[in-house]
Amino acid sequence: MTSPVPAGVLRAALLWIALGLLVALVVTAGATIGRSVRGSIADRRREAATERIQPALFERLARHDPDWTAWLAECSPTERRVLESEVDRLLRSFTGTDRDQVRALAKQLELGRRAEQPFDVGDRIRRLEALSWLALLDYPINIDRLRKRCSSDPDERAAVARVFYEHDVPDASAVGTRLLLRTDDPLPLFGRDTLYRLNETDPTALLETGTSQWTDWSDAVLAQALETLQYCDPADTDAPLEWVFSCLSHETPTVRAAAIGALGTYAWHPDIQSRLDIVWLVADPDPRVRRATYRHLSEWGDADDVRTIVNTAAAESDDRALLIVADELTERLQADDRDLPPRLRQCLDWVVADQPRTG
Amino acid sequence: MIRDVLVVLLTTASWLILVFYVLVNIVYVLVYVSGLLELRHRVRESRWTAAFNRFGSPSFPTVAVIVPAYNEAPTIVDSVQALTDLKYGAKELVVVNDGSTDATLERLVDAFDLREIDAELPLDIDSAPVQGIYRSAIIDELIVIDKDNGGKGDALNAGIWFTDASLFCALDADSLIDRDGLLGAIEPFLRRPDEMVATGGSVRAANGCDVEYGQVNAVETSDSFISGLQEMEYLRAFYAGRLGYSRLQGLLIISGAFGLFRTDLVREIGGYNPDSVTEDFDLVVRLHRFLTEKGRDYRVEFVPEPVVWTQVPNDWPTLGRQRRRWYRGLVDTLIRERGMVGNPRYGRIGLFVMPAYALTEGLGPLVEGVGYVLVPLSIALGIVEPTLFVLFLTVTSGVGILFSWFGILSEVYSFRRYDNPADVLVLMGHGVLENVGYRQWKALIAWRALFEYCRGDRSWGEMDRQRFVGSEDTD
Repeated sequence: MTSPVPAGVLRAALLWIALGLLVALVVTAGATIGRSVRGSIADRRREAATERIQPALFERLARHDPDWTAWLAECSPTERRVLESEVDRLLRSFTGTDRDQVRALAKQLELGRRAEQPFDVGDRIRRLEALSWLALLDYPINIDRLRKRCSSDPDERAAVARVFYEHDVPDASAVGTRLLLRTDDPLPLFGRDTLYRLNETDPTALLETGTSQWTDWSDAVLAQALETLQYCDPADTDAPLEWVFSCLSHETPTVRAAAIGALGTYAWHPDIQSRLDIVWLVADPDPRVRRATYRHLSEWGDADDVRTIVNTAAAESDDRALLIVADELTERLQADDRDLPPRLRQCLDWVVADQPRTG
Repeated sequence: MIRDVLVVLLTTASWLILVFYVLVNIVYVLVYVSGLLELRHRVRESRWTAAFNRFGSPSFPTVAVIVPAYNEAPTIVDSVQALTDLKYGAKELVVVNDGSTDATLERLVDAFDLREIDAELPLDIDSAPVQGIYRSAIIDELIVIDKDNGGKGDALNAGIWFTDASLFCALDADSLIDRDGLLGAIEPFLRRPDEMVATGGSVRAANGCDVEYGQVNAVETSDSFISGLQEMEYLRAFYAGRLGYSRLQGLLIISGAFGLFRTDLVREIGGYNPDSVTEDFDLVVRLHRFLTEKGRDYRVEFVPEPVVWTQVPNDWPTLGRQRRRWYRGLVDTLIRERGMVGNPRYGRIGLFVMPAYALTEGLGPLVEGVGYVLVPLSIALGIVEPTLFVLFLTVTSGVGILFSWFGILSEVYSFRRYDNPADVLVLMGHGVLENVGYRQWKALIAWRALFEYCRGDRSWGEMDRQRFVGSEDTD
């Protein structure tokens, strides 16, 4: 049998491949070692600059007049870069007058003005960096410009809404909430947290946005909006909650469970409580909905409601749901532990024995 | 006559091996280039951190860190102590003592003032019988489940069925996780809460590193040749291989040493397979199958920056046992899930990723082993010219070195944990030296593992545990 390729051709091909490989290896080795050496030198310089800058920065922050202008004039380019990182870090953790001091330093570093520029370019990360600076600084912002230029990128929408929240612009809750929920895609945590901050003390904006838009939202977004309501303070009792009640009959279990969580915030009010049919809710076929009912609504019930829950628990097939009942109603079940279903009693015993977990 | 038949057979085999080699390397090039693209994307993305305090967010998910422990007495207290220092507020630490025959449980009880919860657990735990559940009196978030021995997968299942957390992180007891490692691994879940089902971080060899109070202080290469080879291998596997498959949305392995999963989904598919000796690979393949069959949109991602540090085997017998187990597990899962291989129903997983794994990881070392026998025979019979053989060997070694150096370049280009250029040179040296003896040894190990698998060997193999030696020990 002869070889399908003559030996000479094969030898030549292998030689060329070997040569190509040699070139690739030399380039890869050069790039690797070069990058490593450059990175190492840059690290050393940066570490040395950080060691010089950090104590001086904190010493000046403690002064009444830090005199940033004079200090910055003495800083090298590496030291200024270190300072920018420090400013970023400190602005994320400081509050009050300390934050104001750092903002004054940021102004001297011209971070606000520089943050404005990348927002006009197409690079996603540079825009997000710019928006982060705008959220952290007290640099003046143009609300309409931000709103109009905001793309559909969920991170970018969250970042713009965050700027509105941090700058406490007029109608920040309404404008930011509408901006965040103008989507079919679920919000990233940054977006969810911003939605929460915008509505934390008064969720009227979220409730009103929901009233007009909830049927247009995807199930995931709807569940996120409802879950956010659960964490916010209750709105006035005349707030538009009708759509939240409608969600109790939604076809998606996660939406039904989130609606129960949202209404749990209002369940202390007799008008709301009277509209919540516990028996119907704990008959839901999905255990997540039943768990939400036990978690968010059981504490608001009277003795009759507790008895209803205990009776329902006898047929409850989900152990975790029963654990929630025992967890939420520990003291009331202990006070009246006659005729507890055996599995509920077992859950109660566990919850009582594991006090550190249950508090 | 016999010689003629032999010549025909050897010529055909040589050409088949060559074609196989070309095919395998096309796959590697595709995966490694994808890895480089993905790394560039990740490095860019890592430049931006959203301006908010994620720990203060009410939607920040709780994670149960589940640590299966079997005869881990020398390391368990250090490991758990390191976990309590993790930069992640909403966590529950669930250590599962998997019927250890040493003092693992006693060490935990003493170090963390564990108290047994004096009641019967009202949950059905899908694992070997649970003997007791303990909570720490000094660290509220620490729970220890003491159960009968059932293997690593079974121990993880005990934790998965116990916890209420929406996500769980499987972590080896003999590993050390970066302080912000969990935070890094959860990032994809925070960005895409609806699609993400699993993420995995990098695993690296800690043998040469300086460890202080459960944290890797300075990253250095090991003085040991065996450890050094593995340091380079891990870099190549994670920075080039897994990153590339992740880019191609075909990540099949999330290391058992460090992986984050959605708890409800893993329960839905029945948890880990306790009979598998590579339960991590098996679980991810089953997740792919389940979610593809259900038609759900989902993602399994590799996150390169968070690192878990592990003590790699430091002697040939232990390394051999580990690698044979890995190979047997791979073959076992590929055979069990053979219905997915080449099946268009499973999309890119069925049509590309599973066949690519079978080819590169399953058949690759076996064919290489055959080559080491056939080629000298072919030279002896005059079928292959010695010069051609030398050239071919040069090319294969060159390709191997290039792939290894790709992994090192990726590390240097991105997160640069090895900050001393001398360590980088050592790693590159190992990338060259592995072609002399080590590759051949691995081919032999694969054949031996296949033989063991065919014999029905499902054993895990003993692994020696040693304490991480840190600067605080030598002070």
